[in-house]
Amino acid sequence: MQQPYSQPFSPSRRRLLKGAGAAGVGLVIGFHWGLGGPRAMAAETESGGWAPNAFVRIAPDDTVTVISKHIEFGQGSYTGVATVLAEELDADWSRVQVAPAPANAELYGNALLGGMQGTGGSTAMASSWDQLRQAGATARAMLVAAAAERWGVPASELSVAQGVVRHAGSGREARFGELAEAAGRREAPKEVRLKDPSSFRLIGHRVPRVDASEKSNGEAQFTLDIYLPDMLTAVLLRPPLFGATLRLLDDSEARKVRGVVDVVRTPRGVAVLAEGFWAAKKGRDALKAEWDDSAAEKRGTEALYEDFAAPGP
Amino acid sequence: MSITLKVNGKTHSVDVDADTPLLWVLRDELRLTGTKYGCGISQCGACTVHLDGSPTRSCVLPVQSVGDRSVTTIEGLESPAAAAVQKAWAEMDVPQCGYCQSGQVMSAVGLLEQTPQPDDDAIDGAMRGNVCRCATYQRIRAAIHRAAGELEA
Ligand code: FES
Ligand code: FES
Repeated sequence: MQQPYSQPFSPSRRRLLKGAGAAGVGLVIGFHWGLGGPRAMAAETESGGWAPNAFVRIAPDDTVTVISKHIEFGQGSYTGVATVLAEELDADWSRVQVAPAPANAELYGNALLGGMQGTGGSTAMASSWDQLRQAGATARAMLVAAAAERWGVPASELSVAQGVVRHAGSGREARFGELAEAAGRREAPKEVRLKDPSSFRLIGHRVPRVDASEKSNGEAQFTLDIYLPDMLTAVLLRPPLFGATLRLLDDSEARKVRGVVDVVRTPRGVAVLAEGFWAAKKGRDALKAEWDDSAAEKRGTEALYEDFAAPGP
Repeated sequence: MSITLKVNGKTHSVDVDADTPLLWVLRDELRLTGTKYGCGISQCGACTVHLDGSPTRSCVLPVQSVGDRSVTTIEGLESPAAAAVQKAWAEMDVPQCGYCQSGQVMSAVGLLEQTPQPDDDAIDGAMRGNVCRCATYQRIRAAIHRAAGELEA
């Protein structure tokens, strides 16, 4: 189950930076997990010293975008990973959103799946836990440090809740979005303290799914919804029997269908390439194929069960 | 051939074969991708849109036969019933993968616009044609009741 998002639609680092730039300057926190452990870096511009692996972006409008290295296909991984990061960040859950990580196994590999970039085997949370807690806590520390500097007070006197940094003594407060630019200019702390689980407000508590609205109003993007410039649609003709091979193909009618661009052989059948699904399907339906099924599987269900149940050699 | 269509309140002119199903005009021509392709043979409901307000399977409806009826897709939903359904959907975490949910929402809105206070049988009847691979049926039914309650209040 590989990441299905194609590169151009993913928030690559460059795009994130551009996005942040377009809306004003924000804060992005990334980690590079080398042998020596996490190394956090932050920056605010395209030329800044970015770590290659970004997990969170904070926009001037207070939106917190968690970059998920795990795909969301209904199991709730987006909500799960966002919960972990938002917990340590003390973010306002109603301002948290999730974007898919681009395909890049080096940066977004799953250590529990041997480093490949993949989601499966119930590893999404386990493989994100330490990494995203660190990412959230680091971003929080930098926002706090930025506020402390701005107000000339010790960072230890500041508190954070629901995306707002406060100084009780003076009554001052600032939202994450107001602090993001200044936080982005700071060095990331080498070490951060993670929360004690007894103070968790999100982890272990019921939170609304981050993707429920976009999946109720048609905005959620699925693979089928990706359109690239000059993209063609392929519809396949498959052999009627498993293992049959193509003996003869007459594609002359298919090629006459308006919108059909090409007909190509695939390892097991034929693909009709066209401008759009309907032309491709009409083209596929117009193919005339003859199959050689001499080497094909011809047993029926009963025979397969019998052979399956028969004692081995 | 050139075909004129009214979709989400706007008039569009598209150059497609007359037998092209409405679904593919919406998706491939107008890039309204909220309406999904599931089966293409009127069996799953993923492609449900409203035709003059009635839930209709767009995957088997030749665009030529739409005529001057107005098409509403998930992107163009706007009515008190639609707002109530989408709010209930989010509040009750109805979607899982979400692939079927545009169709589910279109059918649910169509139901509430005809039958503002449906009982379970009415809900099951109206939603029967919308399958969900993630099996969110229980939450769909509960969310329709909640939306109905909200509309009544
Ligand atoms: S795609 Fe139309 S009913 Fe399945
Ligand atoms: S939510 Fe996945 S198919 Fe219905």
